[in-house]
Amino acid sequence: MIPGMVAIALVATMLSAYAGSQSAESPAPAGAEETATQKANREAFGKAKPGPWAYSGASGYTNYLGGGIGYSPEQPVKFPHPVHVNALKMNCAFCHNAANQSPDPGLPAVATCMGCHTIVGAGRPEIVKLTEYWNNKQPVPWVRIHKVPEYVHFPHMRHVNAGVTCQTCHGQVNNMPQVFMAQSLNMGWCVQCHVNGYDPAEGVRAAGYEPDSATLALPKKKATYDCATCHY
Amino acid sequence: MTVDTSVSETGSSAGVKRRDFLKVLGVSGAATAAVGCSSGDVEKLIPYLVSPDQTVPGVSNYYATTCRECAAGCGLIVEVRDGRAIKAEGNPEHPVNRGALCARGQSSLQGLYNPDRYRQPMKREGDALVATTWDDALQILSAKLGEVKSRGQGSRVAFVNQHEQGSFPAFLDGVLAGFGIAPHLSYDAEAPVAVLQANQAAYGAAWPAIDFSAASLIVSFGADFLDGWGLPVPQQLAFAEARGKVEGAPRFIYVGARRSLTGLNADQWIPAKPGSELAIVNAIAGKGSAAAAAEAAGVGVALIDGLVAEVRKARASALLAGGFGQDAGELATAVAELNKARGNVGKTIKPADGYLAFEGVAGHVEMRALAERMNAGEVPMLLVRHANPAYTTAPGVGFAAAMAKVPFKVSFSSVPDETTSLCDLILPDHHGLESWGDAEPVKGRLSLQQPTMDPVFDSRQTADVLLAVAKADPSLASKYGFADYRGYIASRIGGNQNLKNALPTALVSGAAASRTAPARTASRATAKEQSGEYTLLTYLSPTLGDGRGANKPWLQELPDPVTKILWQTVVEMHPETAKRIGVADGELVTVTTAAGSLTAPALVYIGLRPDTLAVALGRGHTAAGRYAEAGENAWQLLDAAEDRAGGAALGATKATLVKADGKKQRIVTTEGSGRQHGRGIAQAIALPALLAGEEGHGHHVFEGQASTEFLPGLRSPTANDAQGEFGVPNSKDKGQYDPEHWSGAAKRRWAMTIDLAKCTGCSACVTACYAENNIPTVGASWQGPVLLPDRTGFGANVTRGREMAWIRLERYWEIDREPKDVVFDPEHPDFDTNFIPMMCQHCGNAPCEPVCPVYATYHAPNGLNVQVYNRCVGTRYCSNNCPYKVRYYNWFGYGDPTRSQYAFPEPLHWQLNPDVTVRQKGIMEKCTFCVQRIKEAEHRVSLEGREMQPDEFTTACAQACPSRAIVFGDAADENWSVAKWAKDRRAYHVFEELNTYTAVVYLKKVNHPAPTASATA
Repeated sequence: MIPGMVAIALVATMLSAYAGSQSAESPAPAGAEETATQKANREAFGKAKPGPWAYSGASGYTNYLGGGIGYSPEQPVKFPHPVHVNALKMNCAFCHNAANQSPDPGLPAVATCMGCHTIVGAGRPEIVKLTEYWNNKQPVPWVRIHKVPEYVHFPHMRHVNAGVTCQTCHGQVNNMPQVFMAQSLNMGWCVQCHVNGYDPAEGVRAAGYEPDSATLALPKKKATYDCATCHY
Repeated sequence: MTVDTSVSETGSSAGVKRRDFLKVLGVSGAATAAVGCSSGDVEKLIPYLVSPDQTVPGVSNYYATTCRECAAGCGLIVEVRDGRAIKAEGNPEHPVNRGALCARGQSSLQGLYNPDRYRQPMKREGDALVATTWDDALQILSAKLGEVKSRGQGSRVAFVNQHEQGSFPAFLDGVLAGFGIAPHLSYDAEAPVAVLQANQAAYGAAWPAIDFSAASLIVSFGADFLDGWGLPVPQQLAFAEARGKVEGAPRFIYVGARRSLTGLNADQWIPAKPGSELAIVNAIAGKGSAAAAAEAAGVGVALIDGLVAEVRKARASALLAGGFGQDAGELATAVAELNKARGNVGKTIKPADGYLAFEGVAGHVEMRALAERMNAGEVPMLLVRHANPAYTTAPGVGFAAAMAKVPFKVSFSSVPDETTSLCDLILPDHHGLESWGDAEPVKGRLSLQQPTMDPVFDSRQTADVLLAVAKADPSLASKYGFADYRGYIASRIGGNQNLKNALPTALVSGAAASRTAPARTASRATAKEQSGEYTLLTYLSPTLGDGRGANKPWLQELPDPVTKILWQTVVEMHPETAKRIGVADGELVTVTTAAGSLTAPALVYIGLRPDTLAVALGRGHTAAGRYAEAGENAWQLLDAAEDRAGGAALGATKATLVKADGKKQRIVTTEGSGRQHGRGIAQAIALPALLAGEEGHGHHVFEGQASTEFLPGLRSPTANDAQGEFGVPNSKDKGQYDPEHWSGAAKRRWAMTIDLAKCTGCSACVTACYAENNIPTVGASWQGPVLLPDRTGFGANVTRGREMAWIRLERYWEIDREPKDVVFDPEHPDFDTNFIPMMCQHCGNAPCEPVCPVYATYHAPNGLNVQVYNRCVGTRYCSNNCPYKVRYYNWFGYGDPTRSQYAFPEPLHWQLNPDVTVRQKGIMEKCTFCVQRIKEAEHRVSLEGREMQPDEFTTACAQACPSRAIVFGDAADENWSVAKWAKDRRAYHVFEELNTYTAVVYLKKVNHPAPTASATA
C-alpha cells in the first residue's frame, strides 16, 4: 500500500520532469567537451532537417545512448565518409552489406578496410592506426551512435527493401566528416512515418538529390503501426 | 457507476470497455508508460576482423548434428546466431526423431554453456585441482601412457567411456591398443541391460523398433517406453501416432507397481507387485494359472483374467518388458517368447528395423568388477570420459573408495562430477555440440556430428587429444593417415568432399566403425536376503536421467511429468502408507535399505502400490555443479544386487520407512490441485461414446452468442475493448482490424490445436519454450528474496508460485476424492489421468486486456494477445483476471546480471535468443505464440517477394513435441493444417462458458475401455 503510493508519486514526478523538454536548436551533447569537428558538424548539420518524419515527441533530444540529435562521438579511427562515398562513389551497402538481408545493417570487417588500405594511403596516420589494429588482430572498437532500446526489434532489411533511403533516418552521412546522429529515432518519429506513409520523393531529397518524375509519381508507402510491429 | 454490458443493436453484448473499467476503479485517464531512460553509456560496435563466409550478421545459420544427451542419437538442427548456438531443434529428415526433440535434447545447450564446465585442463596438487595448460596436461598424459606401455601394464588399465554409438568406440579402442590398453568399457547407467541381452538372444536384435500403429493392444510390463526405457523420442513418436488414429488406435495396458508417465498414458493399470510380472506373463502364455499370478501380483484375479483374454484375442499386440527388476532378464525372455508365439514379431516388434543405440554397452556389474579390481590394487591407471560411476553405482560397489587405490586417474569429462573430481588430471572434452563424430542409429544410416560453433572454453576433443598423444609415439604415428578426428570421420565416408556434401543434413549412408566390445562380465547376483516391508523403486528420472542432467537449470526446473516435483527429492508413497505411518505431504520420512538411508519429504502418490515406495534418481550430487546439489541422492539406497544380466536392479531393493521426527518441508511443486473439480479443463471421452456421436461435433453453440469460428478481422465480435472504437460492430473505421485494410494485418488468425489423444505429458514443449523465449529459471537457492528471506533453499521461489514457464503441463487425476483419501482396492485399482498443456490462449475476448491501466496488453489484428514489455508497470491485474492463470510476473530481476537472482550466470546468457526481449524486474510476460517466429516468417516472405506457404513455420513447442500433438497456424486460412484440426469432432475450448473465444483448441483425449466393459450408446 505505502510502497504503491510512493511508486505513484515517483511516476508522477518523472512524468512531469519529461514534459516540456523540447527546444528549438540541438543542444550541445552532455558529457566530455566537444571537439572542433563535433562543433562544426553540429553547427552545419546539427539541426535535423525538418520533414514530415521529424516529429520528435517528448524526448526529441535524447536517445537511448544519451547522445541525442547531434551526438557525434569521437571514433577510434577517424573514418571520413565523404572521401569514401562522395569521392570514391562507394555505395552504403558496400560496407553495411547486411542492411538488405538482416535486421542488423552490418559493420564492415577490418579485412574490408584492409582490402584497399594495405596499399592505399598506407603511411597516413589514421591508416597507420587502422593497420595496427589489423596487425594486432584486434577489431576496431567503433563507438555506437544509433541504437533503439532492446525491447524494440527494428528490421533494417524491411525498410531498405521498401525503398527507404539510408539518409532518411541517418541523415546525409556521406557528407559527414564525423558521423553524428541526425534524427531522434524515438518512437513518435517512427510512428509518424508508419502512419503517414513514406514519400519516396522526400527520401530522395533527404539524400540530397532532386527526385525525377517517375519518383514523384510514386505513392506513399505505409506500414503497420500496431504495437507488435516492433514491440515483442 | 456500472460497467456497460448492455446489448447493442446487433444483438451481441458489447463487453467491458477499458475506459469504463478504469472509471469504476476510480483511476482517470490512461497513464502513459515511463519513457525509456537513456543509459548515458558509451556502447561499442565491434566488427569482425575477417567476416566469416556464408554468415549474415543478425540472420541465423543452421547446422545439422547429432544429439548426445542419451544413447539414442537423435538428429539435431542447431540454430546459430553470430557464432553462438542458441536453439536446438530436431532434424526433420532424421530417421530416429524426425524433427522432434525431447526436453533433454533441448537442454544440450545448457550443457554447452554450463557455468560449471571446466574452462581449461586441470591437474591435482594435494587436495585441490588447479588449472594448467594443454602443453603441461598433454605432457603428463603422454608420460603416463608411455609408462604404462613400457611396463606392459596396459591390460590392467581401465577406460570407462559414457556409452555412445558411432565410430568413436572403435577409434578409441584402436588408440588404446597402441598403448597395450584393453578395450574400454562403454558404460551407460540408463541402459536396460537385461532387456538388451534377452532381445538379442530372442529376436537377433538388441532393440527392435516397436510399431505401435500395427498393434491393437499394447501391454507393458514395467517398460516405461515414454520415460526412461530405451529410446523415448522415436517410441513416443510411434505411440502418439498410433493413439492419434483414435478409431484404429491400440488399447494400452500397463502392468507395474508404479505408474510411471508411461503408465499414466495407459487405458488400464494393473498394479502388480514388483517381481510378479513374470508370473503374469506365464499365465498369459498358459504356463501358469491366473489365480497364482493374481496372488503373486496382489491384485484381483478378474484383472488377470481380463488381461489374459485380451492378449489372446488381440490380432496384433506389442508386449514389452521393463528392465529394472531383479528378474528383468527372465521377464524379457518370457515376453519375447510370448511375442513370438502371438505372431507379433515382424508386425509390431520389428527386429529388422532395430536401433543400434546400445551396441556394446556395459552394465552395473562391469563397474562392480572394475571397483573390485581397483580395490585389489590391480589397476595402475583409470581413464574416464563423461561417465560417472562414482555416482551411478550402488554404495556396495564402493567405486569412489576404490578409485583412491588407483595411482593415477585421468578424466576427459567437460563438467565436474563425482568421478571426475577424484581424478588427478582433467583434459576437458569438447561438448557434443562442439565436436566431430558420427552415430549409426539405424543400420546403414550414419548420423554425422559436427561442431556448431567455436569452442566456448579451452577444451579439446578427446579423440584429437588421444590422436596427438598416439602420434607423438613414433611407432604408432604411421597408423594414422589423417590429421585429426574430423579427418577420420571424413575418411570413413569416402573423403572430405563427401563429408562436406553430407553436412547440410548430417545424414549419409554408411556404417560406423565396429568394435568388439569386451565380453560381458558374468553376473554374480545372488538371491540376497533382504529385509524390509516395502519394495523401493529407485527409478531413472524422466528429466534428469541417471543424474547427468542435474546441473542444467532447465531440467531441474522442469516439473517431473508424474509428480510435478522440481528441484527436490521426495519419497513417493501410497496414501494408505502415509496414513499408516502418520505422515502427510511434506513431512520428512526416512527410507532405510541395506545400503543406506535417505531422509526426504513424503509425497502421496496414488499410482503406487501401498507396499511400494519410489524415489527418483538423479539429484543430490556432491560435486557436479551449483545446480546439481538440489535434492537427495537416491543411488545411495540401491542395494548392490544386480539382475542376472548384470544390469542395475533399480526396482528390487527392500526398504523400511519411518517418520522422521515430525519435521516438515515445503513441497516444491507446480501443481495447484491434482483434480479438476468438474471444471472440464482436460477433457476425455471414451471411444464408444465418441463413435456413437454422443458429445456432439465441433464447438458448443451458446444461444445469443457469436460463433467461435475463426473469422478474419475482429476475432470475436465481443472483443471490443482492446480495439476501442474500432471494435464497435457498426463502426466505419476499423483501422487495421478491417480485413480489407491495405496492410493485410487482419487477414490471419493465429491459432493452435492440441490433440490430447496424442499428448503424453512428456513436457518437451516446456523446455523448448524456455530455450526459445529466454525464460528464466527461478528455483536456484540463491534466487530467493534477499530482504526478508523467509523461504530458502532450492525451489524456494517455486513454493511461492513464481515459476515462469509460459507453457505448463497440467496433470489431473480423475478421482472422486482428494489423493490423500484414496484407498487401494486390488479389484478396482485404476484411475484415469488427463494431461493438458496450458499456455496463453490468446483469447478473442481476453479478460486480461481491458484491465491493464497502461495498455501494455492488447489484441493484435492477427489475433495475438500481445504483451508490450516496455509499457508494463507491473500492476499484475492482467494475471489476476486471467482465468487460465497463464501470465507470469518477473518478481525479481532474473534478467539483470547485476542482481543476485540473475538466471543466466555466464556463459548461460550466450544461449539467449536475440529475437526475444529479455524481461526486467516488474514486467509481466506470457506465451506469445512465438511472435518472433511469426515476424521472422513474414520478413522472409517479404524479402523473397512471395506469399507465405501454409505450415511454413511453427512455434517452438509444436516443433519439439515428440507426439506431434501441437499444431500451430492460421486458422482463418483453409490451407493451413490447424484450420482442419480446429473443426475436429473432438474439439473444445477450455472454459468456453466464460466467453473468452480462445485461439487454442483442444481435442479431447480418447480412452479405450476394456472390451467387456464397453459402454453402449
